Amino acid sequence: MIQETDINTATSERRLHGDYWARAEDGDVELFGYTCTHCGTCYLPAIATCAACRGKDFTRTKLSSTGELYTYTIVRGAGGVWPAEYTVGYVDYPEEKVRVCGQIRETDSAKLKVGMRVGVEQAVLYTAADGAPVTCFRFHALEH
Amino acid sequence: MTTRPVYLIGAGMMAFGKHKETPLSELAAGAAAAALADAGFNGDEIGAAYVGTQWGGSMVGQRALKHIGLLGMPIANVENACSSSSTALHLAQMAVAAGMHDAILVIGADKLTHIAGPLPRHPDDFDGSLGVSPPAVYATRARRYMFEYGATEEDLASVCVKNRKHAVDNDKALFQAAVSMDEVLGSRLVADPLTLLQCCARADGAAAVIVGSEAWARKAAQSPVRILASQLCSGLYRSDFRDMTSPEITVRCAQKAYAQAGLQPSDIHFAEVHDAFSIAEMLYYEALGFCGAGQAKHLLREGATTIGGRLPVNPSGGLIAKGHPPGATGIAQVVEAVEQLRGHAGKRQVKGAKNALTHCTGGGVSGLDHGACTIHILTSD
Repeated sequence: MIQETDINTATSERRLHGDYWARAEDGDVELFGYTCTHCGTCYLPAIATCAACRGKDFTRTKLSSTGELYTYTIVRGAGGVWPAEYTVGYVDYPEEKVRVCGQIRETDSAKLKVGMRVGVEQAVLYTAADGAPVTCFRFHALEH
Repeated sequence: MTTRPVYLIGAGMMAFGKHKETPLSELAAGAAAAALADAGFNGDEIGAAYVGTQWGGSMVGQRALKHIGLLGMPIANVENACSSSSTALHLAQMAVAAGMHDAILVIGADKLTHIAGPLPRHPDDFDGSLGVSPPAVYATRARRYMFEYGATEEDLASVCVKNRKHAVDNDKALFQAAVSMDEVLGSRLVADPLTLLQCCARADGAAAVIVGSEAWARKAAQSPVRILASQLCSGLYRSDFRDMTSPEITVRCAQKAYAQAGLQPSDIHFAEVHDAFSIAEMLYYEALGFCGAGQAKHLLREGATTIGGRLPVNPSGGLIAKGHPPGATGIAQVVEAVEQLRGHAGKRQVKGAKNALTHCTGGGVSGLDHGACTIHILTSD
């Protein structure tokens, strides 16, 4: 299974890691992991063989609507395709026992703290070299 | 299987820095020639060469050894990110221990100063595709570590102040000027809380050692250093709640190395550890068993890991001061350890040092603490 895919759609919108997120009918963005049918270990991104039990069958699983911010950093001056400032971090989903890497909307450290609840949205992360905006899921703070 | 003792019988390196006009092959050949001269060998003694590089491209070993007339023998080029040349050393000592060769040349070499910005992660890496650059990897670890254990930005910066101070007397280091706490904290933010001076700089450089059997160690010009332990581990993948304050790959590799050497952390007199970023050195004090979880700040505040303290760490100046040509770093650490164990380290000599540990880990792969980790324990006893 391919872990990372840029999916080109008819509108030339480019969805980064499109297997793992979707916009629900109510407008919220949902995250999807892949859960081993044998031992229940959840993966995001997906994996070919379960690292815990070597199982090869997985079920696409919708994650809880909020997670807990394990850690983050605000990156500056990274160069390349990246904006001058962006935040990236890791979010834990205790029910599904999976940690998800992603960008975070807030770029002010005062608005973020380890352990806070975060939700998910969709956002353009960067503009690709060919000019296409690259859209992906993104976390955002739910507490202040 | 019965194995033989293995010794480090020659060591040399080219200064880490900017070598804009010198091809990588010449840097690597220079380091190899220095190691041969150190051993008093003319090259006929060497049965094989293992060469580590991450960014040097294909056939670095052959390109380098052509310059010094050492072709025809088995040459293997090894890539394992920051652990490339320490992995080559691991393979070389196995071949000598097994009796396959009596003396093997191990080289590490890389040239990076022509690359701008942070080193890219592989485009098929999930975290990398979302902007987790190497500084961001360590910054997220630092954020969590500070949250869990109350370490301060000053504690992080003190790693750099210490290592830059050590390198004042190291003419092989990229940076040989000391820096103050204010300078470290006042340099630009790269990935908060890490400032620029807390991130190792790209560099060009090469280092080489010769490993050999006891019989060949006796023929060498220098007093030999014995390899008591050589361990290589790969990281374990977890999709759940990995403790980012305790790199399990280093914990596991250290446990294996201490067991192989028959030593405890308290038996180590100094260590060269992979301080790619300030926080890394603190995490490794704990992962290597030099102190308990969350206690690294106390070792720094007490000066225990400064030269003159009870367990100097990175007497060479580490990656923070020497700069980081990833493929060369692992063997450069071993070159420093050999010089220290011979008592030849000049003003940065760790007095009475008999047992040394070198630790080289790296390689960004999503879900793993690191791709590879190598630990060597060396003794002059």
